[in-house]
Amino acid sequence: MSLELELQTLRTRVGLVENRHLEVFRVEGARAFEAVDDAVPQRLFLQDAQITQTLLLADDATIVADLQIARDDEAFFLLCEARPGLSAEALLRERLGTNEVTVQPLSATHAVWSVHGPWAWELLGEALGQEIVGQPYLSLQHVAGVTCFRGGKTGEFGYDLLVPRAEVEPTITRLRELGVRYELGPLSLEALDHAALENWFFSVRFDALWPYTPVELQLQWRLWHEKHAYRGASAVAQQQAGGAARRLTVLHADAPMVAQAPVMLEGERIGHVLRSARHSLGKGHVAWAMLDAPVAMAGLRVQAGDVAARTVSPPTVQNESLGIDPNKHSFRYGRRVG
Amino acid sequence: MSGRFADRTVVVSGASRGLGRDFAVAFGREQAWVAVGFRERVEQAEQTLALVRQAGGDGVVLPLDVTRAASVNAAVAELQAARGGVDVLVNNAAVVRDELFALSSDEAFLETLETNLTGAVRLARALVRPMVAKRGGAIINVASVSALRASPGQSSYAAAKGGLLSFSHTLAAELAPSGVRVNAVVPGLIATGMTMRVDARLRESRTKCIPAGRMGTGDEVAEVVLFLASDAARYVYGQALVVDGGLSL
Amino acid sequence: MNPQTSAYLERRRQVLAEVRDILITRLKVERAPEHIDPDAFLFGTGLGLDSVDAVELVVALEQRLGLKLPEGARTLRSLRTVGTVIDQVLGVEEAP
Repeated sequence: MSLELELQTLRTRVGLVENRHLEVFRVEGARAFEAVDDAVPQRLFLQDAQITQTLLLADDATIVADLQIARDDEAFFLLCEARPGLSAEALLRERLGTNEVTVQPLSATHAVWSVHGPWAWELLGEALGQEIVGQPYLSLQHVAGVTCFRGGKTGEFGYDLLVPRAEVEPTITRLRELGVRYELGPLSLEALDHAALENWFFSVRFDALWPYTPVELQLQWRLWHEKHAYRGASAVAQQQAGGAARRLTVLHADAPMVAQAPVMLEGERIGHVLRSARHSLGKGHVAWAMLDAPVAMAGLRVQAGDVAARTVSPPTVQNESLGIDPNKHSFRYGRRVG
Repeated sequence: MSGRFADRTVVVSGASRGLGRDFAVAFGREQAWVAVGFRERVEQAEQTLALVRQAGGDGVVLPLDVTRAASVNAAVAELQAARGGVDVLVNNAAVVRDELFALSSDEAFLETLETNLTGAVRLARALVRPMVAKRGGAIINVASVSALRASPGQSSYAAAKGGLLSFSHTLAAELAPSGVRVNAVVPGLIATGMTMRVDARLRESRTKCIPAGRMGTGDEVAEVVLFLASDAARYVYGQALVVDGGLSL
Repeated sequence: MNPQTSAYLERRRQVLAEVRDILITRLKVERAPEHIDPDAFLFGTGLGLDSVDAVELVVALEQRLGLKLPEGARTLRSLRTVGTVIDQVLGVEEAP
């Protein structure tokens, strides 16, 4: 299936993908909280079933993994996407230490299937139970034999289902059967990353971002300023104290922009394009660019290589999901967003 | 053994799922003939009807959009033709459009009022003359504990349900001489469709305020609806029976 | 740099400072101004504001920045990030 069709599915209906790139670990033990708290840059102030988003950094504050932490009573689920070439398990074991906590990789016993799209809640509500519909963003719940994490990085409703291997076949078969009414389609990782770019979600697979830090990438919200002991903390503090010289900024243009192309403002070079994509709803082209901090702002007319572009405030999609009220709208019953 | 409602004609609006389904099935257990009202969810309404039949009752699925006079009139005409009248009306159809008031719109407020209050009024009005003509009938309006105990974000829902309570009260006095009884049931937090679709964190925090220590079940509310509709309640007029595990206390 | 461009950038910096101040003083976001990224998401993810905060934010923006926001659900759709708030204040064309 073409990327274009997958994106249509993701932006207007429901898509399904086995998410092999998201590795899930369970951390348990009397000192589970302390072990996770010491390892991550984010404040671990979580109510039961709540999820927080953070990162794992190298000493120079570049990003080695995208990490979500979900509290499950006194234990934690860690949902980790490591930079390609790195092992999520090795990273986590190294950061968490081995004393007094168990770190159990769940990929041998479970699979992760992800459901994304403006109507994902309705399909899953039918397949797993109505409590899915009331599940808050960034939370987990155990329902119908699976653990459902609500989050996603596409701007649409998104759920990652942790399914015991023995239950995968019946669960996915049922989703596909019920999914016919929702025009459920397959998704690829490429489609998810494309949507992430448009919707201003970081992906650890964007190799052009690898040289940069959370301060430059506008990911400071994934760090907590009162934490100083995690890997990369001193590099972060140093950069924050001096102010970053450059900052990730989003461009929009009618024509395709090319990675590495220089970005010019009134004839002066102010940065370069990192990654570009065609807008999934046919609205031109979107790019992420690294620009000099003083001019890294929306509302400027620039040149991206040969292409006339403007700097814009992300996200660059008005997501259909934002207009949906599950108490009012329904794909199945034809009550779409007006 | 014949049930309390053997061969009686019962209409439940919004019966394709949730509490409405529980009410329909409970009447089915008492061998009633149940018109399963629905707006769009025909397939789910058919499932409700199958459950009604399994329970020992019978009936039909009935397209019934209480926000549209034409739909209400057509439904009532169909019932008159099939059954010659209606013995029990359960005004259950409702929507939730929770918004914080300071950011709310006329549109969502009016939509809530239109279904939860005006819709119930419209359906009662369409059925009341045949009931008066037969000098008998029971109307049960399904209100909500939101009308009694404040729940931030639910001002439109509470206003509509509060209006429904006042409507019940007044209508009961007006119709009593004609032999038609009007009462209301006031469900609390019930572990069924609508409650399960609200934010889980909100649901949990409100469950903690219930003296009985748990959410209610649909059947626990249905028992009370059956009572209000039955001859056992023949001297009960214009009351609002609260079924909420003590939440409103 | 073209003086118009400089003036625009200066104005945008001022509004960014105002919005950060509102977030810190009115909405109790526990971060230093410069740690609030100019394009951070406001609700759910990012700064993690909730719907009660939304009321505070809308009132503060209308009071301090003279912004008039649409009623109902559309309000929040125009307030997705710090940057989209600034766009509203400055009348900058939205992303597609």
